[in-house]
Amino acid sequence: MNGHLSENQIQHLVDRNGSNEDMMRWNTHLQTCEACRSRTDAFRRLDRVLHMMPLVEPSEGFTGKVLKKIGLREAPSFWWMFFKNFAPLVALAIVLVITYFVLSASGLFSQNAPSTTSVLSLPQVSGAFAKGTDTMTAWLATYFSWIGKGGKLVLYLVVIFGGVALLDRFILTPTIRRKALTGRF
Amino acid sequence: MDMSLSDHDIIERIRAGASHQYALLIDRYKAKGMTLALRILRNHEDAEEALQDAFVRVYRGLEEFEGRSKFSTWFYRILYNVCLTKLGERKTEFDRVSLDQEADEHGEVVADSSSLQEEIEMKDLLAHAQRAIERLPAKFATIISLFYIQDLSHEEISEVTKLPIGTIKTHLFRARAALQNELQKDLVVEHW
Repeated sequence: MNGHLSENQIQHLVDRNGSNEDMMRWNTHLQTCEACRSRTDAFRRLDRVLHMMPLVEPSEGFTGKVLKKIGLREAPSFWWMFFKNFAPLVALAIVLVITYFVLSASGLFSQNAPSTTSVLSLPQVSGAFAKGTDTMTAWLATYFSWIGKGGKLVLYLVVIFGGVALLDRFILTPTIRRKALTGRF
Repeated sequence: MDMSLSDHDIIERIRAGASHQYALLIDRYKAKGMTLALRILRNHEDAEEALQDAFVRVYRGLEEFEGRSKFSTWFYRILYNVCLTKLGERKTEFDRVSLDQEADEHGEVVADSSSLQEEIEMKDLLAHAQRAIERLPAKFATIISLFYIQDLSHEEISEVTKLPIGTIKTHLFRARAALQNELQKDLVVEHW
């Protein structure tokens, strides 16, 4: 090879980017040319340094700022996640217990109840529920004396709010999020 | 940070409703993104603002992301475009300095100066390199950043910048040559 390696040839050599034939020719040249060897070493060193360049971090709280801009909250804490998942389960349990008590006290499933094959009329059903809630309120009042006449209303409210919360937690919110992100229900 | 989850896994979780998991993607890419934005915009505040905008756009565009290219390439492309728009608002030209001109001024690297480099600790060299990158024209500093910091291939850089692969290779060569010249200058001055 006549003369020295060009800068481009040295960079190809550093990147191991040349053809086998070129690489062999350049490497052979390096063995005999101190000047080109030094320049190649300098480029290799630069290559190493560039791979080690430190990253620049954005300011403190950057992630929070972006999430706020999008309208999201940062990843919730363990206890919040626990409460978030525990609370709906408790609500579900309360709603089921109340429903069970009301239904069992309503007499709808007793032996004297109308046959399950026959269709119940609306007054029959509402009467049975009223009976069930009366029984349950009276039963609760024996343990919690502060439950008075409003007990029945509280019972209805607990079931309604619990039901709405469950509907929101497990059906509405996931559906709305999915629709917002994917455009599909 | 949960490093075991791939970008694709996180995106799937976000699509399934766990929107707060987007924080994982932000944490994963914010430093690399900030470094790239800073290389283009040369101003910390502008870079951070551009990075925020890019993350917001990425989130809103997750629906359209089909995963044909890597998430990182897609993210850097959006960030790159946001930064260019910002530059346009500032009426600053991306390639206002001609590197050809710089290379002509400095000429070829002198052979014997590389021996000086061997006397310098790697740490010093790193500091010099950082300063040298700051002096590079933004378009070359950007290619250097995409190649060495974002670890993108020539093809991926081409996808991000929409420049032909040949141009990317040329930019990278010129940028490294210019950096080498800058480092030599620094080191010669320091050892004078």
